[in-house]
Amino acid sequence: MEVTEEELTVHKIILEQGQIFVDEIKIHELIEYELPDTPWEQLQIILESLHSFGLVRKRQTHDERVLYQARTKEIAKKLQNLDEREFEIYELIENSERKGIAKSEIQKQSKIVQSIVESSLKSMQDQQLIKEVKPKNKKLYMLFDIKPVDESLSRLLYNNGEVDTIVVEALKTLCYNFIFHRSFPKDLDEDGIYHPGYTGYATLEKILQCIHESNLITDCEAQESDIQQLVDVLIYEGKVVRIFSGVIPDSDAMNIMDTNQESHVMYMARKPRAVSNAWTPTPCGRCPYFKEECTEDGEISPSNCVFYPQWLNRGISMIHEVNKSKGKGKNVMDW
Amino acid sequence: MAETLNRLCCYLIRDDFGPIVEQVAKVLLQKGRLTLPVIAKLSKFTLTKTRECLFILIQHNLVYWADARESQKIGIYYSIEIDEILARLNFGIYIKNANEWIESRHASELVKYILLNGKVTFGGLVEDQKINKKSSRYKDIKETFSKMIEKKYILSVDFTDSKSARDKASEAEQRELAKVTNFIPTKKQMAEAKAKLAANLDSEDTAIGSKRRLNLENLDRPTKQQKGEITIDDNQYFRVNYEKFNVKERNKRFAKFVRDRINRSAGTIIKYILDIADCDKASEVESCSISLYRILKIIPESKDELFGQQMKTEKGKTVTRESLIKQYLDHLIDDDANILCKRDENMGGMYFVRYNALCESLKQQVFENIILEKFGTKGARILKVLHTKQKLDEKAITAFTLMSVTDVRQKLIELLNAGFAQVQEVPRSGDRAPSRTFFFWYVDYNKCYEIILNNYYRTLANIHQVRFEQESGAARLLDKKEKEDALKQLNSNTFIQLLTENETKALSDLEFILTQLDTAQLRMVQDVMLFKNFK
Repeated sequence: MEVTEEELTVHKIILEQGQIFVDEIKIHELIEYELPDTPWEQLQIILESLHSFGLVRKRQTHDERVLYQARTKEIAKKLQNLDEREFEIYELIENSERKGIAKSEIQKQSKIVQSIVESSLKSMQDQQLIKEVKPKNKKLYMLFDIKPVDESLSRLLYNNGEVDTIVVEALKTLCYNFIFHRSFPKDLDEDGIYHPGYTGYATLEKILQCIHESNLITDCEAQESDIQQLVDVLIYEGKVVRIFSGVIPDSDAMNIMDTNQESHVMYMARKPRAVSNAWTPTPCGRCPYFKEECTEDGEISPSNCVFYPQWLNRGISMIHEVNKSKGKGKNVMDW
Repeated sequence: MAETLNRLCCYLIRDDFGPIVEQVAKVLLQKGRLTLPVIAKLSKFTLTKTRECLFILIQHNLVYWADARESQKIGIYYSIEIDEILARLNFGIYIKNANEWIESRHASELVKYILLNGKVTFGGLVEDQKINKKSSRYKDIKETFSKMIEKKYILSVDFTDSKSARDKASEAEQRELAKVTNFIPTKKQMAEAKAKLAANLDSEDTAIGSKRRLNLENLDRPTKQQKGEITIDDNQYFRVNYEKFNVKERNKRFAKFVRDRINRSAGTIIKYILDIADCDKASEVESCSISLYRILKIIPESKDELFGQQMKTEKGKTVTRESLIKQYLDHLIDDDANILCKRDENMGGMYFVRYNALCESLKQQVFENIILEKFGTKGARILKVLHTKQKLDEKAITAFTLMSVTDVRQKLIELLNAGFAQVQEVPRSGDRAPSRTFFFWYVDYNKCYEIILNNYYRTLANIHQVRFEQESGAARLLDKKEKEDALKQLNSNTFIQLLTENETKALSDLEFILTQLDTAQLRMVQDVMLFKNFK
């Protein structure tokens, strides 16, 4: 049995709609141009035949409408070679879409024996119909050409659904250095700053360009969204601030919609010497027993604290060293 | 919190007045308002001794009293003010900076003297310090003293000031009610009386700035313009106005913050702006508006070179002094720490400082630094994400912070244990099963500040305890040293040495240990002031 000319035209039209399910009524409207005066019953026959060839997926909605999504010819050809059980498994995997489906789940839903499921999965993998993905050590199966949902975040920063901390840290440092070098004027005093309204600070495009030029990344392309994520992390760490600059759109001008005129975002580094606090440098600030165990006259108390003498003695030995090198001075501490 | 505070207060009083006074203060701190016989009974001292202790505490503005009529007899009740005791922690800061703030070289000395005595009269001061009334030193001190009165660094106190504010308010209320009715007042009458009093208090505050200022007018103190001679009532008692000093310290902290955040020039400019604004009360939310020209006038021209060195200006534009300073001001406005605000464009721009907003950003910075030190960059990152994005679940935190799930979970638990992060449960089903429940994490900075403040108080108390321990450990050594000093004073010029070489060394080490502890304490007190006094 061959696919007829008419059927191919309908398939092509559904395929043009992309990876979505199309309502049969809509299909009927769409084919009006190519195949005028096709009766409704005729279309039903064509779609049924397409479904039997594996060229479309069928889905019924709760209000009894039928939706169709086209598969490509190559996949349909491969599907022709599958037996009944394999096809059932394939449909399960197909329906799981980007989330993927575990082997145990397939067994449960299709009620097929484990050995057959395994062999079917194996053969379909060989045919490159489905693939195995392992987010967090749990094997999942999904269609071969689908991007898994976890990896869809970013291929650069994630590895098997987990954040690739080494890549993140390396790129973060690179971004920070790039931003830092463009945040302060070089030919002035060490405390120098740029005048307000200065527009030479680092922007996302420039950072991306720098990363491309550094040739650090070879196996995949760095996206602007990846860099945005990294810079956001730098902002959360308090190392970088976001500033808005550029043209403020005139209220009475007509070009408010013009994107070129909009203010754009730039990034400026903060100086590393941030505000300090007085609590953490003292022994109490880092004591593991501070909160609960240490009491005024308990088993652990400031009177028999082991950390204070250590801290005080370190201070004494430090002051002795300073006195040795500088000669006797007054022991005054700055506060 | 209360327990820690009581402990710290007891230590502070022991440190300044010794263990006997501490015993009396402890009773008051633990039991609240009491009469003299009860205090004596609880502290196990005789009546005279207790009275003497109370006298010391009253002299130093720590204890207030109020008389209450009980059927036939009048009972006098004593109560202790925790805030007054805690203010004693700040004395070091007041004395250190007094010279600079009051702009007089005798100020520190005077402030120290007043703080040592609690309340003083000018006559008593002159007599006590043995100042010759004809010397130039007398003139200087008198000038400084009157300057301090004028700028409200010290306040006059009288008999009624020994009553606590609460007592005064309730007395005023009674008087007001007596005017209305001589029977038991109704709820409505009481509410009316209260409203009337509150309105009175408000108008008084705005009209003359402070209630005590009226007393100053009574001092018949002619200003310098009228006569060259300044007169101060010799018998009027004065005490230090902590609030004014706290505000000054806050301004200093602000300037330092801006200096660290932007640069020295910006710090200098904000310092001058805060000086012009010269606010008296910590409760003020905004400063008055200051015009650009006033700022330009007050900043000395000697600073111009520094300003020029630290600002990269636009190419091809001529730089004048005015434009340079204006650029700095614009930079301060642009900064996201709410440093400076602009109100209007007239007179070259009217600028003002939002004290509470600036304070909030400063607090935030200090708090985030504590988190950074205690929980590392990862902890700080999570905290900041939670602060900006509000309630998030674990997965979302992982996505925003780009950290592994295990790391995030570990840090969140650490933060939860320290009391900084909190969890909100949202069950999906009626049975509230954990597997079907969302767990959202969030942080509340104000709650965190309270925890931090409590940690600070606890640490201060611990430092005091360690110091007492160190001092009592070396009691013999200190006794010997005292003896030696006394002998040296008695027979001056004679070479007396009681201490051996080892003992001298141990003594110098002890001295350094005490300096170290004091330094840590004073550094912490600055942060405590930020979290407690600055709003």
